[in-house]
Amino acid sequence: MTDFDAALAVLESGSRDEGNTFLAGLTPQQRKALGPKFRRWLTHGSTVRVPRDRESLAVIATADGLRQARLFATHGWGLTEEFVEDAVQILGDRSPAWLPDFVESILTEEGSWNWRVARGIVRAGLVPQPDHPEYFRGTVRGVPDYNVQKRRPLVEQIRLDPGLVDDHLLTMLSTAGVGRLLAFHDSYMERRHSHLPDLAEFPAGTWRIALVTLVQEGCMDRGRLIDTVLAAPLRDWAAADLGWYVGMHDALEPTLDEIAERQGTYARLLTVEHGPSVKTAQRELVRLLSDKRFEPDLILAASRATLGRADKASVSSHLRLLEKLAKAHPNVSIADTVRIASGHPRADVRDQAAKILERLGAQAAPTAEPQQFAPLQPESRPQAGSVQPVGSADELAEVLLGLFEEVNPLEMERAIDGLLRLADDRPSTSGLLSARAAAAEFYLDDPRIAARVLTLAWLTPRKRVRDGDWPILLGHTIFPAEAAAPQTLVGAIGRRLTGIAHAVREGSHTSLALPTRTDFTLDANELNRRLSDVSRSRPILELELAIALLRVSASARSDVAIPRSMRKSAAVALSQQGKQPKWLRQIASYQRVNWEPERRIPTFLDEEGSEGHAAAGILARSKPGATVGPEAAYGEYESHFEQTLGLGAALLPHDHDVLAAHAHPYLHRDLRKDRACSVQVIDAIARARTANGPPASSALVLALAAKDARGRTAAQDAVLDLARHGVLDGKELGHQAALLLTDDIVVGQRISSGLGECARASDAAVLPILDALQELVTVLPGRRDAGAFLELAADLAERTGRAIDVPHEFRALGEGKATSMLAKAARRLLT
Amino acid sequence: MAATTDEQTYSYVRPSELTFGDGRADLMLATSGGRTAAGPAAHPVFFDGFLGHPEQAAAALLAVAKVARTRFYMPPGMVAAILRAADPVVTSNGDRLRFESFSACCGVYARYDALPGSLDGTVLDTGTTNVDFNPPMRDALARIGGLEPLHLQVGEDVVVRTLDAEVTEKKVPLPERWLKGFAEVQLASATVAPAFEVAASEARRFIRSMPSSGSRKPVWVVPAGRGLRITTRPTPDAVSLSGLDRLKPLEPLLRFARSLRAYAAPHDSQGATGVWELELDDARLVLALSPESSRGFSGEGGVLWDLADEQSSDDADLISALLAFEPRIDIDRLSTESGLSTERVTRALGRLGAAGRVGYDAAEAAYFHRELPYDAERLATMHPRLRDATALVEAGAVRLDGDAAYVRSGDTEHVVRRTVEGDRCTCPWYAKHKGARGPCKHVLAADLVRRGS
Repeated sequence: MTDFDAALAVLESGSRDEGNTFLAGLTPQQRKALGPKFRRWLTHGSTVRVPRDRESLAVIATADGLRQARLFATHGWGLTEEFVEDAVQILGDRSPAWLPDFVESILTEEGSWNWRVARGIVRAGLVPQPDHPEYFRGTVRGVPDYNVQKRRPLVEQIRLDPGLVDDHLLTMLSTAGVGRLLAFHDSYMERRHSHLPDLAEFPAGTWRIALVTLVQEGCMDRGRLIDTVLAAPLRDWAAADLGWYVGMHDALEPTLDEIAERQGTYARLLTVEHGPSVKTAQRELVRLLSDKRFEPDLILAASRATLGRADKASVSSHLRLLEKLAKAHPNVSIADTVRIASGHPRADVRDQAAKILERLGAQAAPTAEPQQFAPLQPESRPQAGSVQPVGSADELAEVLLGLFEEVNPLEMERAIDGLLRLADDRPSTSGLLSARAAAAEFYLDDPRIAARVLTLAWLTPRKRVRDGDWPILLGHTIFPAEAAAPQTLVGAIGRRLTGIAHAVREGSHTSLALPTRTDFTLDANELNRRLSDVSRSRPILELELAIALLRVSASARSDVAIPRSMRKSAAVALSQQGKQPKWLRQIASYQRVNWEPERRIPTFLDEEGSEGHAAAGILARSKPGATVGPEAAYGEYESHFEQTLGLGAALLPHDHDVLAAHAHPYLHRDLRKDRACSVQVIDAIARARTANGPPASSALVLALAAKDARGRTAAQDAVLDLARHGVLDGKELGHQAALLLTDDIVVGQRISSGLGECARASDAAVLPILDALQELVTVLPGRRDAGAFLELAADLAERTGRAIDVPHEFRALGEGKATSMLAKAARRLLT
Repeated sequence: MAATTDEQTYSYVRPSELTFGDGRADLMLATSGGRTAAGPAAHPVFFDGFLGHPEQAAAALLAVAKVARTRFYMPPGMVAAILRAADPVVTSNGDRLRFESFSACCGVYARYDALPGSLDGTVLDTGTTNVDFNPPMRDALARIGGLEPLHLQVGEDVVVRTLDAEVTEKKVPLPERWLKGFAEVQLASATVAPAFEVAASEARRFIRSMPSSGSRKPVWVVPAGRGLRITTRPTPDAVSLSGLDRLKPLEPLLRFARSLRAYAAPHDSQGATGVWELELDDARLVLALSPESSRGFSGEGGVLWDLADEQSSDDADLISALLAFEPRIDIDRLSTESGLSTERVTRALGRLGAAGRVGYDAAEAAYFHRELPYDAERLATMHPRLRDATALVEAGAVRLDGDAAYVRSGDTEHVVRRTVEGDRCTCPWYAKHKGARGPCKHVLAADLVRRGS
């Protein structure tokens, strides 16, 4: 029988004693021979009948270093308390030199079994207590037994390791990152779980109850525990780590003596950022107000920070505290402190401070000079810079190299123009460029793939690859990979770029669509000049002519002389007509997978729109609802997708409503995504020279409500730009906002604060925003976010002296005696 | 190229500590290494006295320490990096103390200047050193209120201490890019110009209303009415801000603020360095933010042209001999004393800045002398692009042909073209950054050859 067979026989028998004796008696040679086989059980899967914890024990018993030993926790399941005892026993017998490093190493790897083994080794005195944060942090999950079959109070489990009580637990509570673990553990114990319907809440399993019990039993120093709990919010820890300590503090129910002894600490808590901690301090200090040990100076010194907070709850509560302080200690002056709240952003808090000052007979804080309103004349738009076409094949190569890194829409237009004109030329760096293109790897929905395909289409010898597809599909690459539908905006971009690649393979063409200005507009005379160069040897592309026409201002399109070969093109004809769409708003419902909520996406269709021609996806569509679901997934996981939409925005410099209608699926997606993808679309809308129609207004509202602050900021910039140039239709903006609020698609608070920012930034935006608010107020009754809209309306009405009609619900509220922010705002609007 | 990591060993006579008693707080900051006016010192002693506005000072020290322990940007793939922060650096300029730190991500630099009005005590020496900021001391700092005076000692008499205490050692791995970034941020700061200033109330409103989430692409901050607002439009009068959370270290100090000033580096639509300065009572808290949160100062390469210039090396040696830990370096005086033109002095200071030997104070619009307590020679030589460019030149990989230069790098021959807008290269670095982050190694190599020929 080999050593391995013997080991197998002993370990498979399941006898703990026999197994331990066998493993403890291994010679170094046997360890060396058996170790790889035992470790293989854990690293490659086991086909033997050795219990899991015996496998791990065998690994520890034969390990020749910490890297081998720490494999024991490869699979945490199946390990037992007996395993920890046996592992510690074996390591103690072996006493390897690497044991201290092993403890550090398994603590660094985290995991409850790692912690239990580390703790066992320390407890057995094999190594000194490590100065590793995980040694304390791991206690939170290492001590409790999560076996639902044998639940027992946590305090009983702590008592099994008496060395943990007091110092260790107090250090644990002082370790960064513990707060969120404690909160997670306690919350798990205190709630029911849908997948374990028979399992009741188990408060005795929480750390909070366990610590309170230990204090009540006198096993822990109550004073030190309170000090430790109070110290947490004073540390610069994340808010997620602080909530548990507030609950722990409340569970300890400090006595008046304890509060008095620590009033300096409570006063410091008034200055921290964590709101619940401030609230706790306020509550306890109120209890102390009438006590003779109360030191008002401490509170007044700290109040400056509390009253400087931006939220309402803590400031309002603190004003009440100060008023009680003034009553309890009439000789203490609180007026100077209360005046700090006079500059609070919320009117109701300012009112509260003013009333306290009035009751005190103190002089009110000098009110900030109200922002003056001076209606502004619309500014004329400065002319955008001119666009320089690429001058040579070498320059074109440089532009393409740049597009491999980032797809700038203007550079892409220069590249398209250059490729069409210089298709038969070769740059001196063609080898380098070809190698770069061949080596580049992009996902199909990454717009940089266009640079790769266009480069290869340009430089690959035509004799070598005569045909080929040269696809630039965009769309999305997450399973199932799917090219964008051809009638969508993204599909149209892909079709256009693929068409350019095919044209480049055929040879030089006349380039038509290169914008003359950096705002992507094209001068009609320049287009006519380009069209006059068209020859049989330098043909034109139908879609390029349609795009060129769309870049010419609507009024000048009729001046463009369309070549005979293109006169039958529906796309060219529709582009030249520049007919105003007849918009109809619809809500499309879409649920991609059954575990996701159904999404309701607003769409705008052109009742006279068309699809099925070369410019489909660029011109207004008649059936956008048919593709809105898949569209919402295009480029969803592609970080460069914003650049794809930038290419789309460059196609429609004059038709902002059409662009906005195309962008709705992506704007809707931005409501819930951390990274907005529609910023370039909103920037394009901001360049409009005509008033915003329904789709553009809806797009602006959606962007104002985007999750990403950058998306919201872009929308505010757009509102300001349109207002400064006198083309912001506030009424339409408000109407679309009202519809989106009613459909419960957007977060009202984001819209109200966005509009507020715009009104604060420029007087030009004030009147259009008042127009918008006039439309909005009709849908506000009954909404929780109504107060912010109404307060903004009241501010702007007072600033401009213009009245605003309010619905009868608000009128009644304003005429009553309610003191809510909503009622106060309604009252201000009635006066 | 893999970044190398050096282990910085801090050796303190004992841990820094803060004690409360006799109605005052006593803060003893232990020092480790560095230089004084008299030369290198193991445990410099700089100050013994009271620090004014104790609550504000404590909050500022904590803010500086927190920046050192924060990674504001986590590169993709870095799941759980162990953050072992470097200790802050303190410089005694005679009339003021400056506490500096640098974030682990190399994108945020923080400095707390305790100005003359806040120091009531004896300045014992000038120089620069590391100070120990251990967790118990930080916890104690958080408990400092506004009522008890704060007694501060920067360093202590080691002869007395070492008799009864063991030396405390801390080892912190400092990546090369961290060291380089810490030094190079000074150079970026020297390019900034004042953009705007707002009152404390507006500063509070702006910073507290900043969204907690947001993509890390650059946005710009512009004045709006009496306050500030964020815009996505790059405009020349705006200050670039990427990663809104990077301004959060100012938040605990807002309640003490008198005003907020911002300085902007030369306009770049891709983002530019922004310097934010919170004016406090007799003090300032300064944050310098890299152009993008994913871009550390270490990769900005603004100093490469100067470093490639042999003349500025000689000038820097000369100027460094004339420095004496001044709070404000007088370029005219140095010009007179050295016999160099002010332009050459300025370039020499830039080179010294990249070596960590001077800092830049935007409020004073002047350099100040400090010597980072890290290996200065190593700092000056850790510019991979310059190193690679030199290697290319030495390997004869550069061929000049009129306005073009052909630089063979590996299997690829890149073309560097000289244009009126500057040199252009066909490498991916240039394609991505267009010279906004300094020249690529091919441009540098071509320049070195041109100058040599």
